[in-house]
Amino acid sequence: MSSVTDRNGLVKEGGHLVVFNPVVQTGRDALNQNLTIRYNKAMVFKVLARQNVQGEKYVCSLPTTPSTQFRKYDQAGDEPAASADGCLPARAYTSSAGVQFALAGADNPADMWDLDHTYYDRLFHVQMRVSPSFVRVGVDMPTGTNQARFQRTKKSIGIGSDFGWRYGYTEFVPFPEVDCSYQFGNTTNVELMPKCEFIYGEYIVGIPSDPDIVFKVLTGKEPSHRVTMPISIYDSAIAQGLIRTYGTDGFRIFPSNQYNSAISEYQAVIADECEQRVLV
Amino acid sequence: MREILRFTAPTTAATSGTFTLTDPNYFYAGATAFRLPLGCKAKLWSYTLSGTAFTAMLEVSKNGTDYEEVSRWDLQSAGIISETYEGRPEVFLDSRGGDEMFRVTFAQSDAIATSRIALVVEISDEE
Repeated sequence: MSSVTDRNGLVKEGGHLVVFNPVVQTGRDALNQNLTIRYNKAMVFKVLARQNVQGEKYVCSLPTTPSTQFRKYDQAGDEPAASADGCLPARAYTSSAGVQFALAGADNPADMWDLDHTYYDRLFHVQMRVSPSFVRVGVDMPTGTNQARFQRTKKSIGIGSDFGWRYGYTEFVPFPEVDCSYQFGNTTNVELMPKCEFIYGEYIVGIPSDPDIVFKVLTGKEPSHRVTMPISIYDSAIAQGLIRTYGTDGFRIFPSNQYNSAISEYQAVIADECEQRVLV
Repeated sequence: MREILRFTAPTTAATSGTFTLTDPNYFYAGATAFRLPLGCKAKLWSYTLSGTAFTAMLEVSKNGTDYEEVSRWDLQSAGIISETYEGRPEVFLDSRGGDEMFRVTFAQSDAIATSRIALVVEISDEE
């Protein structure tokens, strides 16, 4: 447990959350405009408060039905199908569209974690544990886009491959306006009835308006909790969703010895890109 | 990742056969063998044989086809026997290619369905 997270791994009120974009981008060096450099970006949020802090757990069955489409691990055999609601067939994994967790009355009843840009002040931080924990789990961001890659983008891996997935657990931050889905895989020869347990935080957030705070958070001088986006390719749908909600798709990460350049750029991002309503 | 499964199954009205193992918590239906998830170990925490006399054989396969016996337990008369590997579960199968499977067979002198086996098995990708 870090100083900014509680025993469930959720960010405490007043703490900072960094969502790191692992896709390396290229651009002009701030110190030498003739130089092209590679860099990463990250979204920085201050968690002002957490909603429903006494009850941030949600347990449900897998959201599958006998009509859910699956892919199969073996070439031979019939198309796999669930025998009943909540089942994950033997030797099968979910279709490229994945599955989402429906919740009646939610903003998007088909996906309880999906919000639109009017929820700019809210951010979910979602951890999911699956039992039995030998179920393979992945997240597609955006939906239908397998982002697991090996050797740059040479080889696609992921839930249908021998690697590129995790057993039984995933943590991610679904942004408003960015449609995501879960992938599940069962390589055993028995049909499973998995249980999905969510620990989630509904954070009331804002983007720090002080560039010094942004710099300190991104260089590790100010403690924060860091979550990496589950992506290898920066799909335009992600950038568009972030800009529609926040006005920016993140802050460039500078080396810790480039304070002045970083402050100058962060000031410009905050003043020229960020929506005023998201700043705190 | 580690998961504890409680496999249980009755004998059938035959003098020998293969148990249809199930875990009611997580399995929709039972199976006569369990395919180990890739990279996982199967660790035996305990076994319990109950009912009338029978012998149970734990068998493993590296290719999903050819099995070899790795343990044998005898319930010599009507009753119950149970053993728990306190703190030191026995690793009996380690997956490398994803084809590894295990099953439990039985043999008994009378073709009666009066006995049951229960195994507590940990499926884990940790040491």
